[in-house]
Amino acid sequence: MSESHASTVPPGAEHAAWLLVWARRATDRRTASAWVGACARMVPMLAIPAALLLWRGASLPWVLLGVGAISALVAAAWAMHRRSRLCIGDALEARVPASRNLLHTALSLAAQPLASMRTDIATHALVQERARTFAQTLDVRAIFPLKTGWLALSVGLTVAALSGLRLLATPAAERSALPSFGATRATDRAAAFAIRTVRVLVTPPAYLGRPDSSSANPLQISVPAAARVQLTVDVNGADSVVLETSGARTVFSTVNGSARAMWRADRDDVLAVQAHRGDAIARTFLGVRVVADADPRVRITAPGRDLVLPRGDTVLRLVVNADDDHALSSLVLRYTKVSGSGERFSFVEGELPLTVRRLDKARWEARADWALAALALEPGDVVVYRAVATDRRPAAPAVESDAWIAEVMSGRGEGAAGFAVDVGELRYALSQQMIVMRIERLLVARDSLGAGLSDEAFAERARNIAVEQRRVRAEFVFLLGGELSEEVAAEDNMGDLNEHQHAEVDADLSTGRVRNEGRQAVQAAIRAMSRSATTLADTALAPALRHAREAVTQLEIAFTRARFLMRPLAERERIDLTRRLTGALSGVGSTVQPRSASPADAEQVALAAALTDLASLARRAGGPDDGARGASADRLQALAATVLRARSADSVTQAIALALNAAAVAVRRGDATRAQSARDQAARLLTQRLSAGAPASATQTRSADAARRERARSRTSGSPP
Amino acid sequence: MSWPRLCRALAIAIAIAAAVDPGCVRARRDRPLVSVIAGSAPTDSVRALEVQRDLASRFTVVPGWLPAADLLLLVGDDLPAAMQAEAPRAPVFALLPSRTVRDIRWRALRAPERVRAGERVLVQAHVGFSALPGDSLELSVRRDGLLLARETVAVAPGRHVLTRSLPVVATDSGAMALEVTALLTPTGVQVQGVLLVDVVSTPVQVLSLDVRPTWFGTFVRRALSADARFAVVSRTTISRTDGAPITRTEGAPPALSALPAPPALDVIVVGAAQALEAREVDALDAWVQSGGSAVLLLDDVPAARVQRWLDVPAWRRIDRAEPQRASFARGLDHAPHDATDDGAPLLGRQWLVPTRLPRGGAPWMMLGDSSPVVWSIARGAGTVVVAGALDAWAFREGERSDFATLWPRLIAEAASRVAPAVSMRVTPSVAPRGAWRRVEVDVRDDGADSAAASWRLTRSSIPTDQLADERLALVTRGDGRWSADWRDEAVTEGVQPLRLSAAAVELAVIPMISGAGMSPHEATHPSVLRALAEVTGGRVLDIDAASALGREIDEALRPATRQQPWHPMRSPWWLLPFVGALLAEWWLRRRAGRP
Repeated sequence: MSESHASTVPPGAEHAAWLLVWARRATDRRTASAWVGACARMVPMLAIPAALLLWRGASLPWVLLGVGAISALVAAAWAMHRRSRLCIGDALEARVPASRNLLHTALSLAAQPLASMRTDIATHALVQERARTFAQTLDVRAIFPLKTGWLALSVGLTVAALSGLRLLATPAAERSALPSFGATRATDRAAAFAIRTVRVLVTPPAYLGRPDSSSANPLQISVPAAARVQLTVDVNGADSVVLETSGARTVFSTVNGSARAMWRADRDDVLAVQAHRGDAIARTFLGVRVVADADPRVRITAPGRDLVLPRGDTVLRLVVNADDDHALSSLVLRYTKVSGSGERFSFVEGELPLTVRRLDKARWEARADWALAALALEPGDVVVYRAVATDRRPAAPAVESDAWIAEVMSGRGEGAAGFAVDVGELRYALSQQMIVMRIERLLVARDSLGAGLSDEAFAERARNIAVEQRRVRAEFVFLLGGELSEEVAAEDNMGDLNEHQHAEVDADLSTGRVRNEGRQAVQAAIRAMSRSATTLADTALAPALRHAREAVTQLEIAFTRARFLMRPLAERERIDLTRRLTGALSGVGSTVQPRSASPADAEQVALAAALTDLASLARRAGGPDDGARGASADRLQALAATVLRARSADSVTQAIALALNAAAVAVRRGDATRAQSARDQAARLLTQRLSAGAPASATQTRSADAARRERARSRTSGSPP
Repeated sequence: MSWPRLCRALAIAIAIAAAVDPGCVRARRDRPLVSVIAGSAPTDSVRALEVQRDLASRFTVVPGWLPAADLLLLVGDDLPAAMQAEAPRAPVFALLPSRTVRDIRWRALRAPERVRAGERVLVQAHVGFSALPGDSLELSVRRDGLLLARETVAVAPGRHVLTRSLPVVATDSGAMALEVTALLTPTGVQVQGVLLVDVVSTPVQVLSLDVRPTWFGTFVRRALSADARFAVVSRTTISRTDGAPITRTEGAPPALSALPAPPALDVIVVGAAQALEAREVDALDAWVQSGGSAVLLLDDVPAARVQRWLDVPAWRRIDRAEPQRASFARGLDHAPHDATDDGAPLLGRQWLVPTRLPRGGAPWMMLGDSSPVVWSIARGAGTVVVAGALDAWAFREGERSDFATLWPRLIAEAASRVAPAVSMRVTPSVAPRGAWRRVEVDVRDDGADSAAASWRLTRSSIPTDQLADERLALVTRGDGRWSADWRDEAVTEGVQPLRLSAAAVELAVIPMISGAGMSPHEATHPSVLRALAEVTGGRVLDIDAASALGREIDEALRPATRQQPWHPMRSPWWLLPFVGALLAEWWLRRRAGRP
């Protein structure tokens, strides 16, 4: 019988029977408790993918939301199951009328506890057996007809769920690079034209020995100086890609939707990557902070002071410490032996090998026992020595430590007066660069000696440099034909200029009569020297050094760009001395010149316009329209470019541009909170920058009423004629 | 006696009493009328409600400002504007906020009413607050929701008054509404206020007039020419031939005999002013009297005619070996904590100062010994500014002094003293919709009464290009002053202009804000409240002592207890026991089974 049944069993009948058994078992309480246990086991099953998602950078709220959603789905399915098992019999009867209530009866009996059964166990078993036998004859396709629409919907939902899961699992940095829906729908051109990804490959200089590093769509990166930054820009259908930096604008062509640009990191900058297609422009920005390789530091820690030696055969125990931010390359000790006196000096230079102990690649310690007997020093001779270190930078200049002197005591037991030569000779030997060097050395000496340099000694040395500074200045005043008699005679007043003379020069400059840049630069240098001398006299070394360096800069300008300090007059400009004092006073007349236009500060104007535009964008922010959001984002990025053009090399300006770019990204993604925060940051920085250069407003105003009352009062009291 | 009978007897007794209407005399305490006014702090309204509830059993309490009340009770430390205008006659009680509860309010919130585009505007905030350990105060300025400036200050526990200046920049012309917020973190207790700044873009019209060439005048003129806020024309007399001046002019300066009135010409800067001739003094005086500002740059002791014009008895020359620094006088100095104004304003060795300031003279810049080196004096409707910094031009380097920025600032100050021909003031300038506003129109020149007939005062709704202007009726208040009152029924919140025009010529325009509801109520100093309370016979109490408020009010008002006749049956309430007795009698009777 069973075999004949087996031969007539339609396809899927086993599944239908299994379904029936499953439905019956599901009604059992023990099965229900097993379901609860299964749900409990789902917790770790959900926890593992949740942990994976968190590790990939998905935010915790999203993960919790996903876990909650899945749990809710399971609970809903269980509830539907409980509800449907009560109706499953009716549903089967409706689909299979031939059952004649057999399946419904079997399921009803299975759902009842045994204790409450009104039928005996035998009847119960008989009904169950017949129902099982009948179920094997069922066609499962008749019970569960396949509908194409439902199938398509299921597939669609599955694909959507997987896409959402992918987005959820993408790290935040990469997710920002994905084209947002807002940007896609913003405009037709934006739909097909956007910078998809900017991959950055940083290759540090070889001497650092560091591996390359890469990142995708970073907003800001830090790179070592002289590193090569390679940008790979993936963009849809661009004609060209432009890399704009503070100093250059380079155009790159795209190949297969990708362009590759190179940039050498030599200073902090904001790289503006612009993709062009026709009139359409897509932008993104990358802030680059360049970490410079610092010079090594080298110090002679022992003996660490000038020595007066009783004999020339002394052994000096030297300890030298050097360190660098990356790695040291060499460390040696160089010396100069000075013999002689008066105007006869002989100099012998040499190098002393050191025993170097490398604490690590960036910290070295060297020692040496230096037997001075080998130098054959005589009383009065001097040895000047200093340590010299280099790091691994190619062609890096060597850095010297402080120079120390070891002097063999002369017969009378007094130290020599150094290398002081005749004052007149020194005057010609001095240069402005030497003034700078002397100030720097005094600063270093103050810092390194600490309490060893008394305040009096420090002030004395500063005053000496001030005197030298005045002499250097006098040389250049002579050079321009200045009247120095009063300044040389009155040494105390040399810190100040003859303002009347300078005012006349200023007047000549303003009217364009003195067009020689060299002359202007020398004038500026002289002024800087005056300030340097004044501040040196006040022992304010930091500003003095700044002024002295400014003087050097101006002198460099004067003697490199315009070597001729005196402008030769052309033939037709030559003054005809024969006509001096020969004119008639009646011919003298008034002159009328056009009004000089007030020059507006272009940078200030540009930044003010940017702040105004930003305020108008903020007024319109928050609109739900994707197109408007896309337009706002474009406008914000254009503002960033405007700000960069106003003053690109400035760190504050770069920060403003980056904040505007961050606001654009947030606007495009519909993240209103971040957009507001970035806009606020940009506006605050803009206001700070503008405030620094803006004139102060007036403090008081006067009303018409106050003016009228004041006039009435003056009429009453009477005013003087 | 059974219960039904008892009820019946009671009802009959009540009816008889109602017919007889018996009377007696009893002592009764008056109920004073108390007006409770809440301050502007967020917690003041809640405290005012609590106080009203506590006082309601003993007094007749009216929330809000009622001048006719027997007593005015201020909850908080705000003095209502009505009290500022006219001192109340009724006793004033003030409940000051507790020192232990977080509270915050403006002591003052200031910004210039009118600035020029591109200028730095200092928002001066004086905040009074109570802080607890761990609190910090955050001051921020926003425009259109955009954060322009922010400063966070860590504060110690206790009650403080903090003064800070936050700089913002007027970037474009028009009304600039600045939303200022003081926030106590981490609790979030905050107070807000809106300031309205009118930004104008028209340049200051300056005439530089050098009686003879001087470095002082030259460098001041150059500093002005380099500033985009000024439109400078100049005339320098470089020589004289047979008495006729040989001049060098830039632009098209007006003749001294035909100087245009402001705003066609705002400021005249006179170099070598000590050498002005009599006719030049007369022309300048006439122009200043009409409302302009003249800045006199002295190179030497002025001639007698100039000295008489300035009403200076004598001059004192100061020569110092070392450069001396002159600083702004009070009122012209920038607010404290303004980090952008810490330079050396004015340096010089030689100064010329009056031995005594003329009557009405005000110092602008002073030496350390309070000698006024730059000072001003009012002349008619205008102002004359005198600068006796003889050699300040020699210290014009940027690192030594602020010469290049100081003189434009001083000239801008002089320009700000130029009164407009017509000025308007709206109070309140920031108010919620539905509030009453008043505009006051003042005219600088005499003889405006006849022209006032053609004036048209209109306020535009928002946005201005969609709704028609509304004309307001001006009422004369005499002496060149007019006013108009209206209820603000703006459709949309925001800035709306108020215009005064005559025959299609715009005389004045002033912005105001509708709907913000954040006008900066400023707290009054406790000493003022104490003085007011003392004068009116009131008290100043701490909010912690509010439980004793009723007793204090009783002591202050001493409500009279009067003997009054009392007729209890004239009250309708006797109907209740009468009807109750009848019903009870009916119910008891029916329950007993009787008919």
